[in-house]
Amino acid sequence: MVFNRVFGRMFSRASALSVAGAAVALMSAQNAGASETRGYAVNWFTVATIATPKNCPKGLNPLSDDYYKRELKRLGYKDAEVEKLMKDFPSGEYVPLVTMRGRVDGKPTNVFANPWSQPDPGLFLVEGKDGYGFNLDGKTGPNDFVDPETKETGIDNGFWRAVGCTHNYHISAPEYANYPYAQWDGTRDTSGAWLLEIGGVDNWTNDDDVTVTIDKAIDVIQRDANGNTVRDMTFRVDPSSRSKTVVKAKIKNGELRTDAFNMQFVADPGVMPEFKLKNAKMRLTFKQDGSLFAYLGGYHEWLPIYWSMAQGGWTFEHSTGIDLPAQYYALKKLADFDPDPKTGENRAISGTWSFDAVPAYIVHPETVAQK
Amino acid sequence: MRNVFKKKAWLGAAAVALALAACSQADMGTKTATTTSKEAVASNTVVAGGPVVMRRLTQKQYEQTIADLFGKDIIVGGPFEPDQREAGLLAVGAGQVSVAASGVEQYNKMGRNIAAQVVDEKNRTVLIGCTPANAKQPDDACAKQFLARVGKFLYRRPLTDSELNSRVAAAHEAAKLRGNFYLGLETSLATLLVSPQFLFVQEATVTDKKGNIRLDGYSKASRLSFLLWNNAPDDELLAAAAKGDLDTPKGLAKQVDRMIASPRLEDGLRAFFTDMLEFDRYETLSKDSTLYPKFNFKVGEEEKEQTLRTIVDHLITRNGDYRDLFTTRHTYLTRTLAAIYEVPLKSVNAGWQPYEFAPDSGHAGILTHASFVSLHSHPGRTSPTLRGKALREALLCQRVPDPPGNVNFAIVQDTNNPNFKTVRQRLTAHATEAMCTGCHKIMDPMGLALENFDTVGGYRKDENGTKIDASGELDGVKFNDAAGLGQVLRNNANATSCVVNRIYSYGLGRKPTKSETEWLKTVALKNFEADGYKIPMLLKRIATSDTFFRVIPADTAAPKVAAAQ
Repeated sequence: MVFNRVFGRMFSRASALSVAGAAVALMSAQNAGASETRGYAVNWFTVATIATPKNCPKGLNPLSDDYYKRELKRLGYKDAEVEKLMKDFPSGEYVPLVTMRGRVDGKPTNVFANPWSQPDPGLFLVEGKDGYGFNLDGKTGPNDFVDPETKETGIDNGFWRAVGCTHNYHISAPEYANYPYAQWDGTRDTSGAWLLEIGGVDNWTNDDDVTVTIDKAIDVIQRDANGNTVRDMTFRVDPSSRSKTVVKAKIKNGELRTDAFNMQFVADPGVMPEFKLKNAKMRLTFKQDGSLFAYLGGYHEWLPIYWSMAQGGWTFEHSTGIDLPAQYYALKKLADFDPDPKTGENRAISGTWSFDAVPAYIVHPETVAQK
Repeated sequence: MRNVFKKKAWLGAAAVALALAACSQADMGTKTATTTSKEAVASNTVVAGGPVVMRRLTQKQYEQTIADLFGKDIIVGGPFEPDQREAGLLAVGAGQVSVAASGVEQYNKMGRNIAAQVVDEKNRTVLIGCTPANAKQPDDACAKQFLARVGKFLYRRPLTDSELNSRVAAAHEAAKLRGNFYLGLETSLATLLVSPQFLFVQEATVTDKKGNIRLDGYSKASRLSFLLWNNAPDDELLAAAAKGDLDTPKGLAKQVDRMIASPRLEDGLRAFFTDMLEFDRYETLSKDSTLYPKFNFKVGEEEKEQTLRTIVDHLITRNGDYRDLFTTRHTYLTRTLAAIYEVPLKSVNAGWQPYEFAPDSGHAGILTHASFVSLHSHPGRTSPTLRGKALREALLCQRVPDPPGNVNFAIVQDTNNPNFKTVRQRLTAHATEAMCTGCHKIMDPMGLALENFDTVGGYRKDENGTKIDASGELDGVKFNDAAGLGQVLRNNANATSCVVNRIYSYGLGRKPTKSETEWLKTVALKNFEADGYKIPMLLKRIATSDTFFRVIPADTAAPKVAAAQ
């Protein structure tokens, strides 16, 4: 019933037009009765996670209370002193001590801004094979995962290997990892909506030539009574091209898969200013209620990922349990793309994100080329 | 063939009329014949009148009065005494309510709070208008000047000498006790704000030279002002009342023309239709968020506003035919409402945008607005019965009785019964019970035409996989869908007689008397038709009629107004 209701009117949600020509283009699209375009606004966007015992045989990484004690002892504090300091939380000497636990030339240093100023304590990494994503490099190596849904091998997801054994990320859908959940929860209320258009579709089950457009909206989403993005709302596309990505895709047996693409998206300045993927791929499925669910994989520069976490400093560590310098070393070690010509060190890390999106009307102003 | 149809239609209408008669007595009769004449009828062809009424100010009227007098920055607070709907209108109920002890406390609290803000240092220079010789001592001259000016607007007439002197004396004593002129003034102003003369619109009568009893000038001014503006009279209207202008046709017409030309007419129309369409019920409207997550309190406010904007645009800006409100596809939407209706907004402007529903959208007229279908639905499912009842009662002025206490609703409420997939099927099964059949017949056939609109106003083509049949009939005239219902309602004589009756009742604060009802039928309604069913003209006809101010004998006497005013 719901399927019919939504899709019966979905056709009018088609759009691929300028404001001036909107009405005309809508009419001609309907009259033609040929290809169709559907618009969507992203509801939840998060890191694709899967928590299985095999993935973390050593257990989960310690929480901040434990690794703060460890670091304070490393810095020469006696057990009794450490206990006293920890009781002080969050006042007194505790916060400056853990913040300045790095050392450069023997002097206390802000460890979040200079994570290399602390020795790598070693993070428990994901050792199993369960990880969502795509075979981005076309190869199958020892560090690659097997996608739990598609059973595809050679899955590149270095980010998951780096974070999957932290308390924060060790969780499976439909639950969300706490930190990316909190990030997105704030981002979507303050930033323009993340939009998706799927166009040129003649058959929503099998079609080997469709176009996927990723865009950012000027308008922010509104939440419904359950905290989700309101369906069927109109969004105006950001007229600049800085967040626009257009990629070809195929639909097979109801699953859409894109070709490889590069994307850049002006994200949340308070979280991560840009979300940029190289050699990305996306697959998505259409749900009966008119929404869709997607996986998006690709290579992202790892340092901005670190900074998005590190800007929270000790509050990030305390609330997520993630040891920031340890995370820094893990990301650096597991980076698997885009080697620096000078150092040879990889500057990007593979990762996979998942999102769901609800039907939306998308209005295109005249696109203004980015200078 | 045509004759057969007419006969069937007549039989249907007759059956409904009988059913309604069995259920209740309509306010103006079940069917008011409209004249085919397009010529206006002189308003004095029927002599009519009724008793005076003492109406409690509504929350909006109270707030408007304070905002006009002291500015919108003054916080009024609340809560207000609950309103009561009578004869389809809160405005009529306002003439039948008093103030409970707790309400007096609340009004007292609000009055003191407002008075404190008025005399506050940051406001006093502008709002008081005079400066005491010594701020630590009483100043009767300044107090009198302020209280006379403010009192005139609060009481909607000049204070009597006795009233003014007592308030000045109160300010004097309080200033002495509190050692501060402004605190004394605050005390006295607070007493004005809690007085019955402010909280209740009290009408006074005089006997004219012909021996007829009618409202005095100030009471006329209040009646006019609350009818047209939903607000207390302004300075010019009070001045006209003082000079006796409202007692002459020319003077009255001048003021009415001015008021109808004023932007404040929008406030008046909004208030009237808010009352007529029972939008006060939005205060407690809720929906099942699991089934209808798009709805929340803010959406409800926008639903209400959509219909009010449509009404104001159609009736004032376009000076349109009242009946076309039931068929017009012109409206206003926000992004949020567009999401409810599942339509795109193409304008790049934010906020409210003019919108015209497509001819094949299924949306036509205010019956298909989210406000009507949402307000008259259950939290988790539609109700053709509630929608039909609302249409009968609010738009046709026909009262439908409440169901008996022992009705079995099991079939209607079970939306998962595989044998009854649609509401129509469930209602048909339910209405076979003898005790239910009679009243359901007069509600369901119209309500079912709105079944394409879900509980929050979203469009749907089917229910539980079964295509919705939105056909129905109203008083024997059949239609296929909601747009057809709107068209039939547009052409229904009761729809026009109803709005005439409601506006008149709204202006009086009571139901019309028998003689007034006769005047409405034979004069006002005919003139409404002759004027092309234009609401501003209807308002003008009523507001300039002798009937609107004619009073049956009563003991009420006009208070003696202070000579100095």
